[in-house]
Amino acid sequence: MRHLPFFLTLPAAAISTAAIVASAHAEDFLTVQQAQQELFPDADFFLEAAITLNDQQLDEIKNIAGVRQRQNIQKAWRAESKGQLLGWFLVDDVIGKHDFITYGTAISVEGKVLGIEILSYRETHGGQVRLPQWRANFVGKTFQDKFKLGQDVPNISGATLSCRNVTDGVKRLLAIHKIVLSGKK
Amino acid sequence: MAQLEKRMKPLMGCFVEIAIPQTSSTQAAFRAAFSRLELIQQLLSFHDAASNLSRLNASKGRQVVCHPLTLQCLRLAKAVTRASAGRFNCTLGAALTYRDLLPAHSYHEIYAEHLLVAGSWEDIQLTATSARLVRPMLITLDGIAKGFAIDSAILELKHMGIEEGWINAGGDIRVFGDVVLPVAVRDHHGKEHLLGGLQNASVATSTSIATKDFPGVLLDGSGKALAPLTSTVISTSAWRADALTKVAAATNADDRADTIAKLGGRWISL
Repeated sequence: MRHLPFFLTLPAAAISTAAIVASAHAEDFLTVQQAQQELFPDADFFLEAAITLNDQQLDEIKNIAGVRQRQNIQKAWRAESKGQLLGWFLVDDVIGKHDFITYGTAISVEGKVLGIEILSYRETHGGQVRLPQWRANFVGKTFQDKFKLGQDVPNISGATLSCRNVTDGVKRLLAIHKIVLSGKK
Repeated sequence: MAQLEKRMKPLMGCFVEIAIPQTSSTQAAFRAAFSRLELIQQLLSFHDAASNLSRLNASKGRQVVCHPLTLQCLRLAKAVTRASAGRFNCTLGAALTYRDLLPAHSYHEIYAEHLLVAGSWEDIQLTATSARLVRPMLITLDGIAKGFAIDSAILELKHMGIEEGWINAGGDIRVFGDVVLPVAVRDHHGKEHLLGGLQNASVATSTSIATKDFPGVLLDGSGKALAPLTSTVISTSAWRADALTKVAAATNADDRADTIAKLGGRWISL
């Protein structure tokens, strides 16, 4: 057979790296500041400008976006360059059945999505990852060996988690932009 | 081995995670890889009525000029459809719209009652710059495009001098360079099976698991739903692993290992 992909017996040196990646599903990707810089590379200033929503506005968001806004305080920053408004950076959480996701969204002055970055992603089911124990399970095992799966969740193939919770969240943020932020300078 | 930096974005209906070593070009490489994924999503999306693929599907037998990446993916999809004798079948779009798993857009108005539930590889004609569907049918690249996008993004990373790393697009994973990535498979019962360390290879899994969040259904080559199962394949490239999971799912349990081996993958029995 051509191009046989290969799995290895892990040499001792590779194990520490393998163990690091094992925590991939309880992960912080970017800080708020890093995500701001990534999504608004031209900005020189981010002014914290949290939005407080009243009940009427929460209803309006539901009507526009089709999804309910749970919190009445929405974390937001103005992205500016030389005093000029470039757009808005909003940080939001969505909670799925198994996962808890914090993400940042950049929205232009006109209300267009400029980019989305996942800040942190947690899978909440299963136990906490305990690296040393898991690593012990891995030593000297090959692909063919039957592993006893511990509490830990490494990189999972299959049962794709839909990102619909985030796309619904972004719809909500666009509604907030329309109701509260559009027209601001 | 260098410390890997990771980034995640919602793309192609799932969460895509990229890990590459921390170097001076890491940020530029992340940008290049994610824009490649975004471009492929834009071109090959069945959901987006304005995508390159959707224009082809609505073309009523006319020649459609396509992006080189669209043509490349169509060529692969056609080849696997042929090589697997239709067990992977990229012409099942209409079958999926009838099941409300894909949006019908205006296809039923365009083709009326002539729309075929399934076509064959011979119905797809490709030139160096364009594609044409000979019979009224809908192409869906759902079974291969995610893998194709991963391969293409990894090529972008390599062009930028990134020597190792991995991409995980909703459970389709490819690892390149020296990295060894531990991988588990989640089956259709939600049970996890630890596989081992993946290096210079791809793993993909298709499960027929219909949840509220993810209407995962596997169809056979003629568009009939298969009984619930989990199908995992490893191969060198992600597009091949991705496509072969569908071939394995539509093959008798006894013949799976051999069939997949002949097509360049390895069937994983859990």
